[in-house]
Amino acid sequence: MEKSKFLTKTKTVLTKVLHVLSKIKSMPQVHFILVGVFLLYVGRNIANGPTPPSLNFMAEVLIFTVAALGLNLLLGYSGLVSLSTAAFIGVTTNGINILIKTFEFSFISAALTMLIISALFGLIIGVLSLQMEGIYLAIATLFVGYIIIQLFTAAAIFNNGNSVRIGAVNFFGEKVYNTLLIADRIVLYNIVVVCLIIAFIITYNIVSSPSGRALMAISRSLHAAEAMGIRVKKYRLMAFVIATMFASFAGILHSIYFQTTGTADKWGLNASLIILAIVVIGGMKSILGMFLGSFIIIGIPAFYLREIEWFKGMDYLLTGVLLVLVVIFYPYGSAHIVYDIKKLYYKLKIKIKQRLVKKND
Amino acid sequence: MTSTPILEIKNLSLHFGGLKAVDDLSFSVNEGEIVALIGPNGAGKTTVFNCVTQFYDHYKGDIIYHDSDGNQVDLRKLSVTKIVHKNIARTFQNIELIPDLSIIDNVLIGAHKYIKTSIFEHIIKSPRMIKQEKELLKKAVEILDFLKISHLKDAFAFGLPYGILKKIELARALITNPRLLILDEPAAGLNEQETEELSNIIRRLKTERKITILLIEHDMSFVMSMSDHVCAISFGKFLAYDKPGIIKKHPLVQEAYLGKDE
Amino acid sequence: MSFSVLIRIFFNSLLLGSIVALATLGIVLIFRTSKATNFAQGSIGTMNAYIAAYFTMTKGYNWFLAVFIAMITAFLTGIVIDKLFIRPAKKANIVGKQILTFGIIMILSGIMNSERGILRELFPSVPIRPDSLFEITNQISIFGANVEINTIFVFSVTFVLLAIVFWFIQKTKWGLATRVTASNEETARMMGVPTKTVTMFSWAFAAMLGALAGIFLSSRVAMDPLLLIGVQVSAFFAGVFGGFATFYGPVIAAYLIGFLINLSSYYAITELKTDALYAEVFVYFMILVVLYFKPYGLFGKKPIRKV
Repeated sequence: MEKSKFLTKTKTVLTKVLHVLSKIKSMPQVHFILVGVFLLYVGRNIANGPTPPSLNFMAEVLIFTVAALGLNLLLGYSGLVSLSTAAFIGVTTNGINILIKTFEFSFISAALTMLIISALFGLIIGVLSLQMEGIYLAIATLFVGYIIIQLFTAAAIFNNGNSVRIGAVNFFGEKVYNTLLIADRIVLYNIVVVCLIIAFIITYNIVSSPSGRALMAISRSLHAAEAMGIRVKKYRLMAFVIATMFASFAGILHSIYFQTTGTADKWGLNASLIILAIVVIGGMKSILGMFLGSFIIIGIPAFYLREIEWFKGMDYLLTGVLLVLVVIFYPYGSAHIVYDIKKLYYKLKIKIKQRLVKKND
Repeated sequence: MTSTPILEIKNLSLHFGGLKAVDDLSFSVNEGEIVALIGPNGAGKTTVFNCVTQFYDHYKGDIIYHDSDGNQVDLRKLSVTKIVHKNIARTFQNIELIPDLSIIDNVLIGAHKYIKTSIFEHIIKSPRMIKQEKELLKKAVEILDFLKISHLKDAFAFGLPYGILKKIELARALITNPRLLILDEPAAGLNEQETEELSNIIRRLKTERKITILLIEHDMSFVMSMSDHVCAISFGKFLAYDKPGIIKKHPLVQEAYLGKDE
Repeated sequence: MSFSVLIRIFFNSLLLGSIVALATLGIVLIFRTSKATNFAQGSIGTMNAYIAAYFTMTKGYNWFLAVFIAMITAFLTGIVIDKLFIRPAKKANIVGKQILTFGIIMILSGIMNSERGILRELFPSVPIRPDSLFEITNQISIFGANVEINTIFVFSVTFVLLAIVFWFIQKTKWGLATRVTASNEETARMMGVPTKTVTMFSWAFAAMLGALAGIFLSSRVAMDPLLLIGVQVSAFFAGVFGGFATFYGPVIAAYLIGFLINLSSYYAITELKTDALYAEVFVYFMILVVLYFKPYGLFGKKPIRKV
């Protein structure tokens, strides 16, 4: 009697634990953290490996992922295009540089200030977007980005478009990390990874909230959204403010890890198009897909193609071919590939089961 | 069934360029009734609905709504997004659902007017937001249950049968707790069985939930079997307003339809 | 400001404006027929301008012959791009098509920056100055200002070309087919318009316009793979400023922008003693303000959509 009671009790406990585990397994937040842990591990190994610059490329991939998350909210969820994303990364890096050097801000307060200033920029573009649509809006954002880059090139405060070294980053006046020292650089990389996870979680929280639903409603059926009481103006502005703040966040991470402002050209139309490509390739509306897209577009050429002799000088061309192929064959992005692989897997499973059943007959 | 009006349309006129879409139309909808707006294609029925819900706000004439406190509200003073706060909800002729959201999420969009939390609370997933989401979820499932599609709540709206999509549209409107429900061709595209089911649902909405229903429909048997009153229009002009039996025999109505009614 | 300075600015604007007008016409043509924002317009033009330069510089051909050859290669380039990239991607939405043209830029850049074999000859890795039809020193005096013959030549050719294009679009059967395809491809197809051929020729023609813009620009600016980038940006601005609803709107806007930038650059350099870039920024900023009030461009119309 005792034994069977004990067994049933263990069974119920086990089932409960398995149930909770499976629930956790499917929670997106857990996925993000797992990816983060993976990235930390990868970083540690690369840093101690033969080619230290690889860590820089990983950091670049992660930074562009953050910017892509913001554009994803704008494009994939709200259906709005912006071609000025990279320009606002540059605005933040240059802004932090000036605030720290000329106005003697601490790093944290400079970063927070630039976040707020970027939010204001986002508001301005949002106001523009209330009047303009489609290609007009896209080109208008291109305009804004272009004006910003030209300003950087023209003005001496911004060193006429050349990159400026911001210097070792100083947190709370106590911990100083200098990216030129490899030991410090690993710490900075880890900070970037943690910030990326935070960015993932923030994106997920927005998307699964009433605000996220409202954004999607506006982009898919404007009239139904209005009839349900959703104020289009408010959410359009919100989408642009959030996207610009994500770009700013990417700029903060760039300042933390690379500790330079980057050349004006680095934040031009080319970079904004790369971020757009990341969103499209990674899968609009997919959160982890942003990392995938960023790695495919920036990481693979950097890591692998540059090493192979025949590919030297061709990485740009091959990335172009890749973009073309994805758009032609997978217009919904690479995250869809995961979905298709899952479908294939289940199909195969069913086929195998049927075969086994036939055999037994 | 009271005969106090809940909606009064007075001398409604709307021009598109040189075209008179609605021409000096007047009729009332009594509270608690089912009223059908009928007319041949292009008669201006959807235009009337769009005026009531303030998608077109440059109409002439007045649209007066009697709200839950008994006040007479000139709807022109409200913007489109404020209409739903007065417990007026509508469905659309072309289904306006979000294909890449689940059914339950589509219904929850209707609950937007209840949201009190800001974007900041959404970002940090505040307890207040989580609590409200739970409540709204419960409400949405209740409505889906009422429409007998709650088993599909997590399915994506994309690719579902037309009849189900129509139910989701209705659910989205119902979650706003309407006093006045405006349905634009709710039976369009439904088969006989689905139309029968729809009739029952609408009747239940009237008797159980005391909702006033104003609908556009082309299916005459559907209209005649359900409506308390029918308003017939043609080329934007008023033809007749009466009980269904009388409208059916009305000479002007018959002329407008050229014998199309069954 | 003296009158001769104004004349000089005016003619400079004719030169710059013509180049931008050619590029923007290509962009508008493609946007309206293929519903694609062609970010690769500049790269396509640059690549074919390089081919013209190759024939004048390395092979010593006559300028007109070299340009003629470049027009043929441009025509073929346009057809290849439409058939190989644009047509297969018809499932993609407008953003997907933008990424597609961005991919094309990357492929073309890869080709132009490549060091292999014949590509190294066609696309030299150092900036080049191909021979133009008229040297800089070839000038005449108009109202006391020195104006280059080259400028007058470029403007004349562009003007004639634009006139022919507008006549073609308004008065010929194929022009009508283009206009119909541009306003609604599906309807056009159902009415029996060969829309596939129209879009293919649009890409071919746009490539030719871009190549011509590149050839004209390389007569005064050193040539490298990024030759037409600045022009392309201005071409997009001209498109939005003039409005994509018409073909003539962006062309007029192109000249207008050219004139405004030249005028304010002169003012910035001489009166305000600052960088000409500030003038460019100022003009673009003002255009942005105008766009806020006229979001469909100076000559644009709001597209009608039914509820």
